[in-house]
Amino acid sequence: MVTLDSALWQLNQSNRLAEGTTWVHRLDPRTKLFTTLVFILFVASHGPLQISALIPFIVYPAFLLFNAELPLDYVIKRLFFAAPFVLFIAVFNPLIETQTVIIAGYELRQGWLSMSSILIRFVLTASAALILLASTGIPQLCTALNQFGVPQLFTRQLLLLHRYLLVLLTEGLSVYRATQLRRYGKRLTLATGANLLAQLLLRTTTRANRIHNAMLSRSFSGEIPTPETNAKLTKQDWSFIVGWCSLFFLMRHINLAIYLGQLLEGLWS
Amino acid sequence: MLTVDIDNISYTYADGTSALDAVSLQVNAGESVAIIGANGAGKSTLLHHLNGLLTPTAGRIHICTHPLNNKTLAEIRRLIGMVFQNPDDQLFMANAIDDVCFGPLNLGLTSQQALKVARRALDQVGVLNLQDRAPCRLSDGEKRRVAIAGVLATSPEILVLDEPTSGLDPWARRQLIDLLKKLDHTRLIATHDFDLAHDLCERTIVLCEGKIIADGLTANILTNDFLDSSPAIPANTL
Repeated sequence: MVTLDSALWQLNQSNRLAEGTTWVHRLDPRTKLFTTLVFILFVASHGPLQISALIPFIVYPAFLLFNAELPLDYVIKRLFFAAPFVLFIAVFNPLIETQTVIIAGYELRQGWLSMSSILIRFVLTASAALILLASTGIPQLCTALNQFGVPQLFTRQLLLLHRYLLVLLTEGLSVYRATQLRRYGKRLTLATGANLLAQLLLRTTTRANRIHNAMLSRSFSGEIPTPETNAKLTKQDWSFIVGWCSLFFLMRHINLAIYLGQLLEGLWS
Repeated sequence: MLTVDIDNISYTYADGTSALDAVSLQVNAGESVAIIGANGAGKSTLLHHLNGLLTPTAGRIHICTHPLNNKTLAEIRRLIGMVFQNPDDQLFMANAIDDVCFGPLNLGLTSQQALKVARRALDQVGVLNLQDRAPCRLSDGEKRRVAIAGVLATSPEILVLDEPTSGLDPWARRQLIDLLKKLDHTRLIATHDFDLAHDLCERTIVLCEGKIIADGLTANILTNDFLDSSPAIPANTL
């Protein structure tokens, strides 16, 4: 079962990567979350036909990727996984936006520009979010979200989902393998598939009951408390936030790509 | 001093299966008792009665002189620390330290106090270095230790362990037995592991089809003569 296997592996990979010890990993999760949200905000705030102004923004995910020592293929593979959904949205732009613009002497439909802009924005924001996840970890991100005022109900659901998704996948995989071993090469029928799903549902219910019992045994009364930590942001955290946010602001208001192009053109001539 | 007093309890599941039949059992403070029996003998059902996860259809239970009822349930759950068979059922928080803090925080400790007792408990079971690790990134042996720490952090009087060594490799199993030896709580351990029963428990109870069929010194119970001669224990049930 390649899909379940790879899903398990990918989930584990994210957890493994988040246990890194680089200075990016050691930054307070709030710092990375806030800076990434600001980054996404600035990227998303560009006009629909902006392309050159977006390109310098690549410096943020590239910087994090390099300094957190994360594998490039981790980001690329996941971007490819999500790309079809974005492509599906963007692909209609050239058909809808039929006005033409002239770029470098070539006449081009405006839709092509907006489509490219959407794709660039997707690459920038999704890669930043993926790097944030891989250099921080879901539990720490949930804590940071809580500290930013996101309701505990939401973050708890996310945490439990993350915790038990692995367990569910492992169980699903073992049920599927057990069936596969006795199918002797025959295709999985609808009836067998339905039985597998029913098995998984029953197991999930039983496990949920056992988890609840274990919680009750430790005096659970409806609230899931977590210890409050009063960790303050360090100078490094503040430098990271201020430095990057200033750069985003600068890149938002000055088209660095055009300036750089003009500079190179001047040097060349 | 009597810490566990089970008087003639019976339990029948909703589908009509009788799981416990007139079970009586007294355990003194500091005693370590192994509960052995075949699958389905009623070991886990019996343990689940101790902290009120199941309510007996007949009979009474006293834990440290408190009668088990809705009014005393919170106190009894503080007195009894239960380690479940599958640590994945128990470790549901994002990381080990948060999980171990879960019990103390529920008992009303402040964050600082909870963190302090949690770190002490993790240190006691030798996994303090794993405090920030997500449960899914722990080995089975490590999970088991963190689960025990989660219970120790609530300072229970009685430790109840449901098949603590199941699924562990021999090395992790030996480590766990050595760890449990160091704990001086009153212990009730449901197990199929005779070595564990022999090493940790001076007293053993044999359950068969929801009834106690033997109760005595482990050294006497775990002999071939006893196991072979007991008509209520088919040779393949243990």
